[in-house]
Amino acid sequence: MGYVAVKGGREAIENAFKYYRFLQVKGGSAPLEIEQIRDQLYLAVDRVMGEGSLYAPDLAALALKQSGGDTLEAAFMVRAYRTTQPRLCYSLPLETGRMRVIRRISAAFKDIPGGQILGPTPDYTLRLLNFRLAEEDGLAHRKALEQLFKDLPDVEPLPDNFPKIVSILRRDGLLIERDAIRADNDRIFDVTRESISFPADRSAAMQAMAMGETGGLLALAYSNMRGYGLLHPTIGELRVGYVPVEVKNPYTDQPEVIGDIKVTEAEIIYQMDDADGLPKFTLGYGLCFGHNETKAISMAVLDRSTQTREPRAPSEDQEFVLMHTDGVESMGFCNHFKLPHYVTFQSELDRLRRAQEKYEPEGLEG
Amino acid sequence: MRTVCHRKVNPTQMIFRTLVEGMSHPGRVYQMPAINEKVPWSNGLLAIVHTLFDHEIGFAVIESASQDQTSGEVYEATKASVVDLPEADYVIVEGSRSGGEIESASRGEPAFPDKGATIIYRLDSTNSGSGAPGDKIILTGPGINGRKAPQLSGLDRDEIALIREINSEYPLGVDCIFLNGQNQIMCLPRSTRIAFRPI
Amino acid sequence: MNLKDWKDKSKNENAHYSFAFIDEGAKREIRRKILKAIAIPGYQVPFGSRDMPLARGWGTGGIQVTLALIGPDEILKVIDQGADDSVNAVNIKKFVSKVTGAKLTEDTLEATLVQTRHRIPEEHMREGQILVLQVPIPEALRDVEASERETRRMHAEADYSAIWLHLYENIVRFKEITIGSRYPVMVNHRYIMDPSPIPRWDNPKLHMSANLYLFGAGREKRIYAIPPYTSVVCLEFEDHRFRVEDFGGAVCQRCGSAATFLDEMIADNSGRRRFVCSDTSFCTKQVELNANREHPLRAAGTGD
Repeated sequence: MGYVAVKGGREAIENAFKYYRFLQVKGGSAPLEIEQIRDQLYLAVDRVMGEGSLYAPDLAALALKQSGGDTLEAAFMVRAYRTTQPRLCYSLPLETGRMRVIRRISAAFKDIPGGQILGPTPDYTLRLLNFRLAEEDGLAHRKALEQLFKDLPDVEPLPDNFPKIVSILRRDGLLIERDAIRADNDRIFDVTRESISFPADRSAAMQAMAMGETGGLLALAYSNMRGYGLLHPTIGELRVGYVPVEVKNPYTDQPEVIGDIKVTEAEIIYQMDDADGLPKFTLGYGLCFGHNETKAISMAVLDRSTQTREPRAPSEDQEFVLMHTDGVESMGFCNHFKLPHYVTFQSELDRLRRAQEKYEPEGLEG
Repeated sequence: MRTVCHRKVNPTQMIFRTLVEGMSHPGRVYQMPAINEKVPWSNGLLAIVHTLFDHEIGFAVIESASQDQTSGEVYEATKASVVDLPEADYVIVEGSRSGGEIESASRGEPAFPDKGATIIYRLDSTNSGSGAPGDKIILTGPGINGRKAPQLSGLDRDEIALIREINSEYPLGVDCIFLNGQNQIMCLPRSTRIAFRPI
Repeated sequence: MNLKDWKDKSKNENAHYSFAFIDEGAKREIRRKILKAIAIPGYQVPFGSRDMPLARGWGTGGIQVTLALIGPDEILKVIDQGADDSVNAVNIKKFVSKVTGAKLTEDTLEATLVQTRHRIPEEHMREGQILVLQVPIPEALRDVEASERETRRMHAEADYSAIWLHLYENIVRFKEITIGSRYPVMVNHRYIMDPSPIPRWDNPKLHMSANLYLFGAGREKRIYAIPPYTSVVCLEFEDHRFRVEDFGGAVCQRCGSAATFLDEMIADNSGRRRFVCSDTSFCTKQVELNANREHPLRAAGTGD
């Protein structure tokens, strides 16, 4: 009688992890330092912070190192860490008007008060591989810094604040007013504490998208821009910069700044609607941790599209958008199909065999 | 396997398990773990409250001269807020009768029947009624093998009849936990079918 | 806090985690929801569902239910596809034991708490035992309706015509109800429920059982329950009854059992089949029983 091995699972798992780790170390290259990842792969770090829903650049960098660069895995690790942290308090609402801007542009107007500040972006470069980056030595960064700051012309400092384009449009009566927050909605939904039901509160929807996976949000937003949806977006303002985070001191009741965070904010102007009577432009809004313009823009597109009064396309269906854009959930479920499913498959085999037994081809005589 | 956590289990875990058994077996009496220096509560109600209440829920207290004291104790222990009865997730009734007030407790909504309130009766008060002495209460339904009479004494027959009426549109309804002076509990979830038989 | 502080803090790793990993607030919410689930058999209670270090889709719902229940004196069994040593079960067992100190067992009857993926153990569990099932898709109506909003309405109104129609169309087309696992059941005469991807073989165990069943769907954020002694009826038509899987007379080649759910394995390139009990610990017990008897059961079937 043949013996079927049923043991060995434990050892196999341990070896699988060792092999995974082996692939990172086998080349013998110098171990990456967390600071290197945090500084030089900062956009990956920002993406992982956003999708992990935890503003902690060092931890996001560590997660990227541990995951071998898999941003879905890294975001997952950051989320799992987030769960273990005690909830101390809520911040006061962020005022992005107080942002210490490093980048601020508008596609709606050629010139805007404060100016078009291009800031750090590869947008205007040619995407040609720079092979000199493969030859940098240990002093390369120091030399690059010297070069950057050599012979800089005198420049005026940036203003502390830039007016919001959107506020100007509102003041001129061109932009729709947001619905006032309903009285029974002073409580801000917390998607990490409660499961969303539909139609979802706007605070729930925005939170879900703020921690959504960049590629998922992009795919749905793209579908909308291409025509699965009838929207024509114009970027009213895109900002990247540092916003102070304030909490109320529990003893003095006064707001205190506890630090600042880098965020990307997109305000997108859409075609007119006459819900208010007088036709006005409508608005989509996106905000995420770190510097991630693709995500903020996609989020703004989806914010607007899910408010469509007669949803027809997937990007206009709030339930569809919110249920399918969380990277940790989607990646987890996608990969869970690798788990053994032989029992359920056995059931399917049984059904198929029975159905085949009962099959009668059409058109047979007699 | 080396245990990573060093924090001890919270004694609310055993209280919770007792409630799970109670809710799974309506009508049966279960003894909650002893109240001693190892636990941060001084009575059975506070044990239950420590286990289930926190700032995320709202509660109301009914029918009691010591209403404010109970509310205060519960708030101090858990930071749960006192709310109006129809908004309450949990309702505490001091004694075996609510004076008809639980009629305004939330029974949930068709799409979310779980929003129906949980009523906690503290039967160790002095005014435990018993209603019409001649009736026997018969319970059937999920958790009950066949039929049984509730094992806890001190229930008020008219209050049970009121509960039955409130729960007559299942799955809407309320779920009840009865607590006595011996630190014992008995549960009647809304799924329990209640009948009265004259003895 | 900078990275150096984090590094120093993590040296005292034990200081980080609550008992059973999830914090007391999260446990309380899950506990409140578990009690509501027991009070409304078969109804899916929404819950907050925290992120866990195991991936969504890999049992985070089951784990959260287990962690909300478990005490340090618990005896825990974890299985996947019926096997104690399956990769997913091993991972989960390691994690839970690590954060609670609970004892582990492979014996269904010794366990106080059993967490399972896709099977109910062959041995009938007793009063006081709890079986926690991992659920990928908690919605029995999902195959006929994609929208959560709509399926919630259907449950609210007990409007189950769509799924009955789906079963009817199945029969018209294939002369059989072709649902393999996740076979829908009617619980306490009110809610149609998804029993999780257990094979049809296991469905009858849900009806009037002595133990409590709890179902956790972490990604979809739902908890539901079947209390003991609850009516659980598989959907069927009078002339097309519910049927369990048919192994065509095969028996387990390890223990000889003809009355358990079998794993069918492809033995070699010729496509020859080999059958073994899916419930590995039950199978091992049978093997030991057989060895203790004077005359072990003979294995029939397609084996050597």
